[in-house]
Amino acid sequence: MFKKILIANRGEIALRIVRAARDMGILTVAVFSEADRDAAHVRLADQAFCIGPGPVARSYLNIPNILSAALIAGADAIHPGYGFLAENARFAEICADHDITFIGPTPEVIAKMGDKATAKRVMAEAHVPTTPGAGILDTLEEAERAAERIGYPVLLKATAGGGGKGMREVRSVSELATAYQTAQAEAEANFKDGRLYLEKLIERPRHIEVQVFGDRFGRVVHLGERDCSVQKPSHQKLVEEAPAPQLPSAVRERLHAMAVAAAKAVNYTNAGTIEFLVSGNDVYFMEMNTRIQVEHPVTEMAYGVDLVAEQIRVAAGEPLSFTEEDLRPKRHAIEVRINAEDAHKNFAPAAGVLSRVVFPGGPAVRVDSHVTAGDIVPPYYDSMIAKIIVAAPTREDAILCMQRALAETEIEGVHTTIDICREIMADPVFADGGVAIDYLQRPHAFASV
Amino acid sequence: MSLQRPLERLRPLLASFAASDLTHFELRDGDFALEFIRRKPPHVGAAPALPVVAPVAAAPEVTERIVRAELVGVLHWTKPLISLGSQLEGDRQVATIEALGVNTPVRAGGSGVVTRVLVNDGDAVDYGQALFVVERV
Repeated sequence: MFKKILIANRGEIALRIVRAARDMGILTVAVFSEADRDAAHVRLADQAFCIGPGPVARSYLNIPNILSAALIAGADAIHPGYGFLAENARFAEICADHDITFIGPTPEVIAKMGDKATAKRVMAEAHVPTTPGAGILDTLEEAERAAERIGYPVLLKATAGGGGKGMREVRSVSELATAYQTAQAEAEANFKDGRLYLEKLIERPRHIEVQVFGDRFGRVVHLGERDCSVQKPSHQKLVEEAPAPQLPSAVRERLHAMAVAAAKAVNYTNAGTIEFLVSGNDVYFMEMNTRIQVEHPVTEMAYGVDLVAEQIRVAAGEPLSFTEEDLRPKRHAIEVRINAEDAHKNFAPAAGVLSRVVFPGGPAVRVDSHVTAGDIVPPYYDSMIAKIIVAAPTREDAILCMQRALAETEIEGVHTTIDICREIMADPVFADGGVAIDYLQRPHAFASV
Repeated sequence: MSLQRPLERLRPLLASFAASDLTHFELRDGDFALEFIRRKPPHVGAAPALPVVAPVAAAPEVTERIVRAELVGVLHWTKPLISLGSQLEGDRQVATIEALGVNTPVRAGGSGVVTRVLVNDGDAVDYGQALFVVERV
């Protein structure tokens, strides 16, 4: 087992990893930017190194400084958390070159899944359905033929795209020419790459993802699914739960089986998540995340496992500590993300000082957070300041428990997503379960948006 | 917002504002209001603009300069070794920081007299760590 782990991250996930390591008797090394000098992960780790100024490019993405800190500290492994370097195949490779274990899958698998086209091909080979689509389109005529073949509505997307730029919904052939030109111009302007491809538009799908885990002995298990359909308009998740409510058991079983098959197809090791779009009985592979996810506590609370400790054990070469037969969801878990954001202004991040912070407690409530009163929310990083997770025997009880937890939560000094989360927990539509990813965008449904 | 220990609470916020790209920051809570405004620097190429908070205290004349590590690594002083009272001329190299097998020079950054040496040869240093202090003459 490792003696010392460097945590190449900040915020609540850095703290989460410090806690897992401490439970296992492993020493921790924190890294921090100048803006995080007083951060909780720095205080609680056994050792800490400042690796750069506030902006992430010069600190949390600064591979030489992070690696140099690991070597000086004598760390034998690096946990990348999520975001930053977590899905950087080159970083995983460099760690290996320096005899430091990267806690995650192999660089080859990270690279394979990080490339959208390759990932889709690998999934298709493993008989996992992907969104019907067409490769790169050279002309408008080609786009017309492809759309005809796939069937409207379709989605035109920029190959270099991201954040919805260079993306257009097209409902009929009459809309295609204009959409093609504007999407191409937008892609050219934003990414200096005007190439487009086309995909079937899945209307009002649910976002359901499956947690998988593989070890070095070729074993792969799944830990069920998480429903992450409650998303901000930017498609960032706000509420997650496990198991997914109102999901036909045939669909659920198919998702689990496909996720395991896909992970086995790439000899997947460590924790990973396969994201699907689900529409009725149809499921489509969206992407695979080769890291621990923000919402992993939902699975931990439902199944009674420690995924971060398992990541460390598997990276150290141990076999998985559970078998598929052991793994049954024992409770229904829900997580809400408390972000320093103004929901009224399209969830714009709100930096500032937290003048008052009160987190909930009591039975079945877990809070993963790195902030306390007096802390600053720096402008450089993700705006998430806490995750509140609850678990109860039934979904109804879990919602009641979350209502209680959110009623106890008080954060002052910055705008937060507490109010919108309270509204969601009181919403009969959410209580019915099975909402689609446009749930938060229904007009006039929420006072806090 | 509680205003016990107001300066202690404001200092990190001010630092955060100064380090950011923001030009304006406003915080209101009940009777309490706080506003930071960044003024444009007087000349192009001048020092970065500092946030202005009234009343502005006169800044003391800076004669000391702290030379800091710009990367994480192991520090090795280079010859001629500097010590208390050493005269530095120009921008000579005074040390190297070894990281991942590469030595990056640390330079004096200008003339002056060394008034403090803060790390030993072979010490691990992290980003921004003060290495030595030079007083301008």
